[in-house]
Amino acid sequence: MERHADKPESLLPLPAAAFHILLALAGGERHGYGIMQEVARMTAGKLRLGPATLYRSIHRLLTDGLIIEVDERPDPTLDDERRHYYRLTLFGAQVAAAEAQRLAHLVRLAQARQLLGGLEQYS
Amino acid sequence: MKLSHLRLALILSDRVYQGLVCLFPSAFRRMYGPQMTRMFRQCCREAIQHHGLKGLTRLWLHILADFTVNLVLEWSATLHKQARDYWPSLLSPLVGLLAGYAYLHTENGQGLTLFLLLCVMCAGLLGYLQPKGAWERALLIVAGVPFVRFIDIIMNYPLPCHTYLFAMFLAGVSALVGASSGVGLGTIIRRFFMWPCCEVAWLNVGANRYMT
Repeated sequence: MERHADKPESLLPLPAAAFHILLALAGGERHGYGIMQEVARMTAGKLRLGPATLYRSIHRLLTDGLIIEVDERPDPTLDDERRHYYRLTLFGAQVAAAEAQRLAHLVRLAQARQLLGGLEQYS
Repeated sequence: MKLSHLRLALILSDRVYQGLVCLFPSAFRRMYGPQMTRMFRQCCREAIQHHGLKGLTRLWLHILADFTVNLVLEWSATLHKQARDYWPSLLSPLVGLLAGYAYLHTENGQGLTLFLLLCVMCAGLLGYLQPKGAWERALLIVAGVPFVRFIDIIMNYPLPCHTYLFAMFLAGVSALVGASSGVGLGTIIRRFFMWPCCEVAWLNVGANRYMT
């Protein structure tokens, strides 16, 4: 159920798992295993979500209306009907955007403190 | 490695994981258990396809860490929610029992004052803290009063029945008045005086409820 009364900022900061799931779903509807594969692909295999982390995060995201479960499938003839597909909601996209802006601000701060260019000054 | 060994490892892993998923709270298990098992099966197939038994062992280490942390977090969230939902309902009959005992077994008027104060204050406080179900909890306070009779029967000095009925009536009236006052006061305070504080608290809750 979507809860548009919430401000996107009220859910920040998002944990890494939730943010990666939202990012994966920003590319289109996916099922659980598809989300896990997409997250692994996006992070070059550095983050592999286990089934428990993935479904606990999905449960929280569904409860807060950031994602919804969809009934229709991309190709019903080729797909396992037991699979559950998830889609990003408008509120979910707003929360993901707010989190991305928060992280971008942190990156700008790190750049200003010269933490990204090199750490020669500390050696 | 023989194909039959890999197949056996796959089947065994599947069974063990299915058993492990049963350890999750029932509501979560019903909703996500089959999906988790299916996803684990796919991960196992992928690991065996690419790295054989070594890949499966590595997957299991990752899965066990993931499973243990999330099991603890899910159970703690479930128990926390259950305790928050049920503790006022469990407390209410106990208040009725204590208040009733004080009223029926104190000689002077102090017993009645204590009885009324306990019923009004407790019902009011619970109504203020948890407005939903405040009137039902007021009735649960009334339900605690007849237990005084059981104690009296055990102690061998039961009072006439109408005394308990009158105590129940008094408890009902005072608890309903208390609960209504608590709910009303809570609504007014939350609406007009504590709005900025609630905003700040909500921001924190919003941040923390996602923490895993």
